[in-house]
Amino acid sequence: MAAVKPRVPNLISDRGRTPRPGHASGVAEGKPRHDFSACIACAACAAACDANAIRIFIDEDEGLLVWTLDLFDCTHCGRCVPACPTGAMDVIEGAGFADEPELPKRCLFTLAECASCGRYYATNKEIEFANALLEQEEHADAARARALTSICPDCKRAHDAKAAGRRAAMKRRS
Amino acid sequence: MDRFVVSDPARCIGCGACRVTCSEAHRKRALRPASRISLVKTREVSAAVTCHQCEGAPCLAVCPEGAIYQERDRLQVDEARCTGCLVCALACPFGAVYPSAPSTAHVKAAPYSRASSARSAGLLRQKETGAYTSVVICDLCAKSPDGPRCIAVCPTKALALVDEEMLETLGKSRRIEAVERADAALRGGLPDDAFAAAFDLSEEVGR
Repeated sequence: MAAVKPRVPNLISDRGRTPRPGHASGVAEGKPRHDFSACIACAACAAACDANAIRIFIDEDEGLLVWTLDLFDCTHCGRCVPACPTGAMDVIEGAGFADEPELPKRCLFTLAECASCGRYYATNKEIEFANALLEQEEHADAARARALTSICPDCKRAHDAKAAGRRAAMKRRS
Repeated sequence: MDRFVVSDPARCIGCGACRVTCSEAHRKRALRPASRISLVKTREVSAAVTCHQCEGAPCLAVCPEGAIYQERDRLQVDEARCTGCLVCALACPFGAVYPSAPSTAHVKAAPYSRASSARSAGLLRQKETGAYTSVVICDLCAKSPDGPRCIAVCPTKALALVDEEMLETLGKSRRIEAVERADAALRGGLPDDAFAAAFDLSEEVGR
């Protein structure tokens, strides 16, 4: 029996990620550099940032997600780099702390509305990223997941519950 | 083969005992104390829904860290590896991947979150907190010797573990037929139709 599937990162994220020698933890330290074109605003960096320099705000009126990096708070610990699934975060090693830190960097991402309930549930770039990954998969389960990425998890759960109701009704009939 | 926990909405009273025992059972096994099962309570239906243990698990396929793995027939999360990017939560066709924040006591950012529940769903609110997250997925209580705890604790016996034989009796040929049909629709590249087909499919599989 095939016991455990090996743990491998997905194809897109694995590209261009190199382990950094010379650091005991494998984490390079330095001033963070953010690549907006690669960023999908998944908020993994905001969760990894202990100093709270990277923050996420949601502007529901405009339908935007605001990603901010405030170098004033940043401790150059570099923990945002391994957390990033797309390789959008990088550090400039050896860059010192500036006396007058730059203004906070703000990036705006448009939010996607759920096709079923109309609430915001993720950024458009994040959904594109998930779609691109799912299209590489051959399995029918991935195709089904690909077709349902335009719906928020709450609605998916509600549909699943309705399906459970039909399933139970059919079991009673038979 | 997929074995997973299903509930009978006709019996489910929505008491939440499964959710409580789920987080408690995982806490005892030094896993994230968050519920891996959720209750849907609408006007028409009240049911507990959880992971379907898909064979070609989409959550596993999209994970950037390789933190989700499939051991025999159950999915498990390596909580130390998970960075909480929640791409798996987006990819899951059943919405059965949940973010688990350790505790709100030390949440640093946005103490007065402006993300009200009116316009944005739970995943976005989780992002705004900036708290360290790991996702949790139903692992059929892999570390408990007596199998899934939620089934044992359900007061109305609404939960059951569906296994291969039961799926057989519920019409496997129909499922395969539905999968093929939806698959053909998807490869046809009609986004709107594919969307509808996928919903039909999830209903067909559900029966």
